Amino acid sequence: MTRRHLIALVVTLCSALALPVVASAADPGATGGTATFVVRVIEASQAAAPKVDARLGEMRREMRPFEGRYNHFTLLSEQTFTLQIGKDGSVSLPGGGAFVLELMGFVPGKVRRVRYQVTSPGAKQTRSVAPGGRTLDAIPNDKSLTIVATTVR
Amino acid sequence: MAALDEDRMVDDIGLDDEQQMLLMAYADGELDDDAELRARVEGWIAEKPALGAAVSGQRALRSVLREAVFEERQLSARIEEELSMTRGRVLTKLPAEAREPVAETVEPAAWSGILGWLASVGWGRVAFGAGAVAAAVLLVVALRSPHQANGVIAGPAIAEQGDANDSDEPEVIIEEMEIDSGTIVVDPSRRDVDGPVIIWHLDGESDEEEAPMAAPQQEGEG
Repeated sequence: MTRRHLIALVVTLCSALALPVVASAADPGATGGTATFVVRVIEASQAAAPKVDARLGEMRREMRPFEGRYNHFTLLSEQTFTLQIGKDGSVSLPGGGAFVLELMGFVPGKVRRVRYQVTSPGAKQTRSVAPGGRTLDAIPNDKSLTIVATTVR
Repeated sequence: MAALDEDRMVDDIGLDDEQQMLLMAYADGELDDDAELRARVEGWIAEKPALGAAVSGQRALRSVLREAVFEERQLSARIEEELSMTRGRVLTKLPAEAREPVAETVEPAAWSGILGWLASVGWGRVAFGAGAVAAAVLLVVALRSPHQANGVIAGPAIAEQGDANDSDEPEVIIEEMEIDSGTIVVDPSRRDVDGPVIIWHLDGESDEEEAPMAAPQQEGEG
């Protein structure tokens, strides 16, 4: 066996070993029986000077629908939950109560959707969302608006 | 024996060969689609009742034969089934090394063909080619993965929508809703159709005041 053969063999073996690792990284969404949710709680209010929290970054664009009434957006918290089926995670809401996510399962299909239940003050919803999908739950308070941005990964 | 008697009866009646063939064809049901010929034969039968008896005998013979063939086939199937079950029982009692190597009688030929071809190409080239293919696949997967992974974290909403949902289904589906108080409004008239779905949780008293979107669709009401 020549050196060239040896190199080819090593490349083949390394590729074969690396493929499963890279392939699993290529599917950042729900894998196996778990799904990851990134939940950001944002407070929108009306102030003398408009301001958008720098930590919102790319989400600034998504605040536009609210800019007619509010001009001050502050990120209150950000949490990432990796949940197994039947498990839940919750964030506290500034107006009181909690926003609870419970992973219920997956909806098979071309894109495997994540089915989860959202429990918020006064309501309970079952949603199925494709990986990468995001919802904004807008909960008005007395003089401000609480926005819960949930991204399914 | 009955068929011979019927044949003799037909001969005695004095039919020519063509008439005999037509009569047999009639008895076998082969004239069902030819009304003219059937009428001719039925005319003969009406004139000579012995022909009717011959036809009945012929049909009875066919029925007996059909039953015999059917029974023979059934018997054959039962025997094959018994043999198969017996073979299965015997095989399960045999030690593994004593069983007939069914698959191995075929596969070595195929494998030897493939291996022969690979050997003719050259093992060095084969290994190099396999490495190149694996590296190419690795590269493609690696190029795809950061895009998908970053789409959620850093990419704009429009990019992650496109990547996440190549199917015709909407990205977000609200399957069920239970509302104890207030109103839930899912905004379908987003100005940015690729943006996130906005779900308004409105108090009952403040619906008019807070509904900020143009003509939102009301999904549920408490």
